[in-house]
Amino acid sequence: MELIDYPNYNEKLFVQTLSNGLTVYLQPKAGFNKTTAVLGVNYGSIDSQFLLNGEKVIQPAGIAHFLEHKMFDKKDYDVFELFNKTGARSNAFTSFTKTNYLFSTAESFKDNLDILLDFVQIPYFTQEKVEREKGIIDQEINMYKNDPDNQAYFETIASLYPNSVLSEDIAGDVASVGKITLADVELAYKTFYRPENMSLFITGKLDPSETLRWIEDNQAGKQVPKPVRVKRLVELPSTGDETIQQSKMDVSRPKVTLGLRGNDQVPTGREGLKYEIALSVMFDLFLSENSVEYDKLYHDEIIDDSFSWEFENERGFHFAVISCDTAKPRELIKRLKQIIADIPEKIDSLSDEFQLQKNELFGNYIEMMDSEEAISGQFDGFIGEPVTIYDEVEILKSMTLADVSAIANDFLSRVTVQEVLIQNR
Amino acid sequence: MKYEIAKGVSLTTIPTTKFKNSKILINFTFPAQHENYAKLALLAELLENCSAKYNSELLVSRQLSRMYGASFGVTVLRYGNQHTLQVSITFPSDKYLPAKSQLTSEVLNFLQEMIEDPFVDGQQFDQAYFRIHQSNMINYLDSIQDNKGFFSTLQLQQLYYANDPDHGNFLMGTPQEMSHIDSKSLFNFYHQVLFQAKISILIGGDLDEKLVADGFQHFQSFSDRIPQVYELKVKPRPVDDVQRAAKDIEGSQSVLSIAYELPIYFGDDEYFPAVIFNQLFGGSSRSLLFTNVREKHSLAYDIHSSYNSLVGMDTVQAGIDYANEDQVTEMVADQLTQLIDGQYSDELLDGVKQALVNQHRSEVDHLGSLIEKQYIQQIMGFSLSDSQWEDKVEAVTRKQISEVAKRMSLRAIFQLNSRGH
Repeated sequence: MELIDYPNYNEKLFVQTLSNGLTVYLQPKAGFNKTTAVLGVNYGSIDSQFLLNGEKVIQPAGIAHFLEHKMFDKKDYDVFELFNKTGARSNAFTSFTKTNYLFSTAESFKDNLDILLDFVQIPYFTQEKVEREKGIIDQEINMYKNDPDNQAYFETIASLYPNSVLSEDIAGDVASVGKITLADVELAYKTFYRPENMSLFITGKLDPSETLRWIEDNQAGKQVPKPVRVKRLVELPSTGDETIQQSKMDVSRPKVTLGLRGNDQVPTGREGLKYEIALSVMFDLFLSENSVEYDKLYHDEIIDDSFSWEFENERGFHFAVISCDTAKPRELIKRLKQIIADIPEKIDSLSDEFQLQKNELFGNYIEMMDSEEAISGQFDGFIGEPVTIYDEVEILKSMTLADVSAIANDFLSRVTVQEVLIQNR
Repeated sequence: MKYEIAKGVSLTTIPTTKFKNSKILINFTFPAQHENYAKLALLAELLENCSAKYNSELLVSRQLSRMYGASFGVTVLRYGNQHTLQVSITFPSDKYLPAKSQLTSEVLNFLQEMIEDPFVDGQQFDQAYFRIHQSNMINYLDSIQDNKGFFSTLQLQQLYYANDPDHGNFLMGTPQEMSHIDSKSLFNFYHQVLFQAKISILIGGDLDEKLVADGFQHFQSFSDRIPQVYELKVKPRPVDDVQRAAKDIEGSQSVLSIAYELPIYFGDDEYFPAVIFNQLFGGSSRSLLFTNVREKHSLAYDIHSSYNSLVGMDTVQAGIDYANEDQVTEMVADQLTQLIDGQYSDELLDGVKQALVNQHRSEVDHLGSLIEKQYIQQIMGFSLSDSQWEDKVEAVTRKQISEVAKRMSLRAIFQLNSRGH
């Protein structure tokens, strides 16, 4: 096992790629009672079109999320029953690019580990089970559609990436889910649920060598699937002309979002994390409560505590979404665009503010180190090298304002922008 | 360890070296009366965002960044009949900070500044500051309707406590109440809270206890007081009929919310059977509601029940199609009957017990949960060792669960109807 030591924080990471291709990351936490394990599949909602051994496959939107639901449903039991026996908590999430299965437990760690590996690696699909799931997923889709903040967020991404897989909701829609067949589910599983396309990250109470042996024993009992040639076809056409896309829902005040699509190239691995952290710092410098820009918007009563922004950097795309409830939507859009346009000119003079922001982020990382959820949630096993929060904090420490400025300029010089406005009916 | 800072002002320490951060909670408490709800919520907002020294939101925010991104918040809570203003701060241990850092002292000074020296103009809060936060709070209260689940929960609570605004009203008040508060009267209210409320401070982490205890001794307002004594558990007034209400919305889903009175409270003999009953009913992903309404009949994605042991209430909420509302309502009642009749497997019951034990053992990995647990035990005057707690869970019988289920009496139903769905 490869050992990565983080002496500043009294933490260690153990890494091993097994003979079947599955990569295992173990991060023991001294004194903790609980263990959290996340089995990640490098497969998400945007992977619905691909070449399989040279042949083009187009699957209905929402297939990855559908598959996630179906993994829990076995021949004569539900996987939750197995976790229930040991009292573990389990869950799963599908994003644009990943599907994560996880459990946490203070008891019977090995049993739960076997349950996790077995239920994701041994599928059981039938026509009847596929049909029954559709009603549940329809309700899930309708629940999200009922939430105007969620709608605003996904409409923004859709207008940044028109006519692409990113313009579909992660769960698809009721019509696309209705089209999913047993054959679709089987094909998606065979194509993407392969050990070399998975990573297993475990943190908390654990003994690294014993845990690795358990995982190896579990994997030894499974056949390695036949090799396939997979090429993902994720076409992301350019953003169209900037527009304010408007819609109506029951809302108390208008909801506005401003979406920023990055069209620059993001490096992979550690450098990619550096890029992400730098852009987060950039947004903090101009849009956090520490910034004079935020303060002005707040005191001009254009924004309030509903203001937020987030930056997503995923496989093949990156974007930011800024959102707020406001009585002055057009004024907000105008002012935000001006703030963003002024960043390149202003950023280099913000050295005190930059130090302050670093200080804050540094403390935030220390705070995350006490949480197994944060440690495992922040980890991405598919960026070519292991980068944990203990690495991220070191990347942050060595970051300079010049680094942030250079990355900000790269991003902003090619960024494309769209807005969404949801008003009351 | 427990220290008395002054009469009615206590400090409890929970020392541990397991975490890289520490946390301080300060609870100001007094009996819940609805006339105070909007006032305390606005006060929390004003104490959180500015002080005399940090007289803009920007300056507070930058001071927190200087203190390594310490998470600071002032919120309102209700524990049964107890109205609570809670000040909290979480911050990294000096060990992980640059040499010579003395963050604990800095944090204590900051807390004293924020609590004792607010942003005022004479005998009132600064007018402009007051007005902008009052208006933001009104906007927030108006926006609750955008969140269908939460809106339904509040409507259900109001129905459940018909003509009992101390318990039925939302903890942060109404937009109307919020708009009627003026800066001067709120400043008077602030003094009442500061000098009359019972104060319970809890600290957890790798902290110098003496330093913290001495620090709080310097809070001039933390002086002797005689806190009121009152019953914490909420006993609702009897009602003749089930209270029902419905509202139409244009949306993609209907939300069904049902409340039962379950007169079993934290510390009662039936407390553990009641907790397990709720897990079996709708509190877990193996519960009867989840298994039968969601998994077997595909009628919902989200369906769950929650048990509040301070007010003796169990509620069910489900996001469903309008057309299925009657069917789901009937199925909820059926699951309750099944629990009375004991129609569930031993395996399920054992698993639910195992899950509670597992979660209990996991809690010690969260500093926040450790402190919260300590506080609840303190105010309820009921505490058990870990092994006693687990024994109580294990000892729960089917008969006890059936008895609990029989005590559930339907009290309120709120339907948020999206007739297209």
